[in-house]
Amino acid sequence: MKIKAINIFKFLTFLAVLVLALMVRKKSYAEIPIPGQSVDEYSYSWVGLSLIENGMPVGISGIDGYKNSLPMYVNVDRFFQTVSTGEPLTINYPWMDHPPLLGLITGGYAYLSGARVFEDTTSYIIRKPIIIIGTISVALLGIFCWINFGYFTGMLGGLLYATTPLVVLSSRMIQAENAIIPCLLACMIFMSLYIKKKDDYWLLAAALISGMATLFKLTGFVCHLFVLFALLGNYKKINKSFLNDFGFFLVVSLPISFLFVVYGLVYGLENFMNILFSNYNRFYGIGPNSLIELIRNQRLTQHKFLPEVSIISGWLVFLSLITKDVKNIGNKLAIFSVFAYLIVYIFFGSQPYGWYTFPFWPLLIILLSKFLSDGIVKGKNFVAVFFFSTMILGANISQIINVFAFQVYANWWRIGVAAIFFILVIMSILKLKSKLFYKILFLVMMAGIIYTNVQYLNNINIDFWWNNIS
Amino acid sequence: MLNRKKTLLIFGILYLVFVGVLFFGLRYRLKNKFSVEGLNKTISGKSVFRDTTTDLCKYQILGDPKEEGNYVKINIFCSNGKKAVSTVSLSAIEDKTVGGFMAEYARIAGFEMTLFSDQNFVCYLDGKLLTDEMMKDNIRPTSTIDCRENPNK
Repeated sequence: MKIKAINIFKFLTFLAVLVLALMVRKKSYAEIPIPGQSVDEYSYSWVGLSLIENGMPVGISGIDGYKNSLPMYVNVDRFFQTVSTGEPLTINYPWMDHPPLLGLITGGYAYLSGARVFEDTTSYIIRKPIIIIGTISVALLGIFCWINFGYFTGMLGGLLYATTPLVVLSSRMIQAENAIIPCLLACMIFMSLYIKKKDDYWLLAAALISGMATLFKLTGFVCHLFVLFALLGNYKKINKSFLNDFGFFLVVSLPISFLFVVYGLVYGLENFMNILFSNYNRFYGIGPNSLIELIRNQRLTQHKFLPEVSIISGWLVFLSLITKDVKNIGNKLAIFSVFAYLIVYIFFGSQPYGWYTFPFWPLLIILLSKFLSDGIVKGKNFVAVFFFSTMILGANISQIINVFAFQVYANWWRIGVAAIFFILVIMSILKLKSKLFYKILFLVMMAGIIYTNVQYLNNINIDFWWNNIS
Repeated sequence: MLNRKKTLLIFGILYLVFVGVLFFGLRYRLKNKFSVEGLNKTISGKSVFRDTTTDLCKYQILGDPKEEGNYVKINIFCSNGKKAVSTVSLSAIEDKTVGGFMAEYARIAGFEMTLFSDQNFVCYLDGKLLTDEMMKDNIRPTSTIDCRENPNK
């Protein structure tokens, strides 16, 4: 009876996290990020809408290789009045930049909502499905952490991913990466279950979802790469079992990816190949400094930065973990995923658009959550946990109140943070442990981080966007 | 445990059926649904959700097209002191007459073209008074249209 009540409580709290995730994503979703700053959002939806309405995928591209190219002013959301460069959009058909699955979701939703022409696809309509997908990602991240690290890490991971401001803003954008994220997270869940339970159904599920990921964008191959690493990590050598598993995985996943070629054949093989090769020769705008930029600058679009300390902390935890022999399956899988996407990111890299980096963020939040929850529950690495928590909390506070307004609290911060660092360092030197002290301290700090995340998000309106986000 | 061979066989059959439906379904739709006119309507059709305005100075097109020498400037001055200043790329204008250009500008900004005459706007093309006959002439790239509201007309 007691166990049942605890399980119900856990389920309800998990549900509450998802409600919070949905609410923060939904607030001002049609205004922030400002519509038109990434015209890809419209393009994806137009591809789906035109496929349904005209039987032909039509979208914005601008890459070479298209026979049909129309410069047009389509003033949806009146973005030519707000964020336009003055350049007309280059509309191409048959649009083959990416597979059409995301377009069919957002464009299909727009069609069901009554949209029939491109100008109908306002952000108010087309962003609705993506915030649902974003909330599903929060659920999957929480489930992954719950399965591999326990309930508390699941909740902490879910809360951090639900409320981290940059993640929330990014998950409102119609970008294929936002659809690849839940596929990758689902794949991680299935592989962790496969490794633990050795049940082929989980491998089959991973194969189906990996194939589906590539129908959003070819970078969905990150799932294939991740499964390769996960199986190699499990068997530790290329033996018969590994070959059987990976072969089975590929026999299911690759034909699903091949559906993009079948789709391309309908509109002409030559056109399809031209665009594929034009895509391959794209300008390598992320440049040789892409790794430091990944850690240093978190971007939403090409030019919009919003440094996110939770993500930076995640990178630091990742770097510390790869110097160790990691035993925990969950941590191992998250590290494999980061490397899998890093390889995809470097290989496919073109312009330094922010959305190419979105799939790193849930993975880094997973690693950060495990690191922080180990500090809270077990008192592990408590000085570092306090350091990261203070860094995130402090950055959030500085976004909510400016340094002059903060002076009222300056002595509290000065004395409080310095004293806690002093105590923790002494405890670390003398190897003293007080689980109750860590628990209270870190739980208060986590509550502060989640609260300030939400407050910070509440402050982000159009004025804040223009004035504070470089 | 799953019987992998049996699973792959079922998957293979379902896959082939799906591929067939996808390929022939898409081809059928392309053949029966696609037309250039229909596509143009989808691309440039007016939205039922978008507000149309009677204030010609309310909206403008920001920025400047990159392509040099292939644009037209249109400046609208309203009697209340407001103005709308836009530069429109001619590459995006299908009907390259003066009238065609103004109709396309009205579509982009979201107002009825008849409002120019209904609200007594007097327009000048490169300083010359724009007459009804001139509306049929091809528009010269880099030219400027100035429209001024004249409440006393």
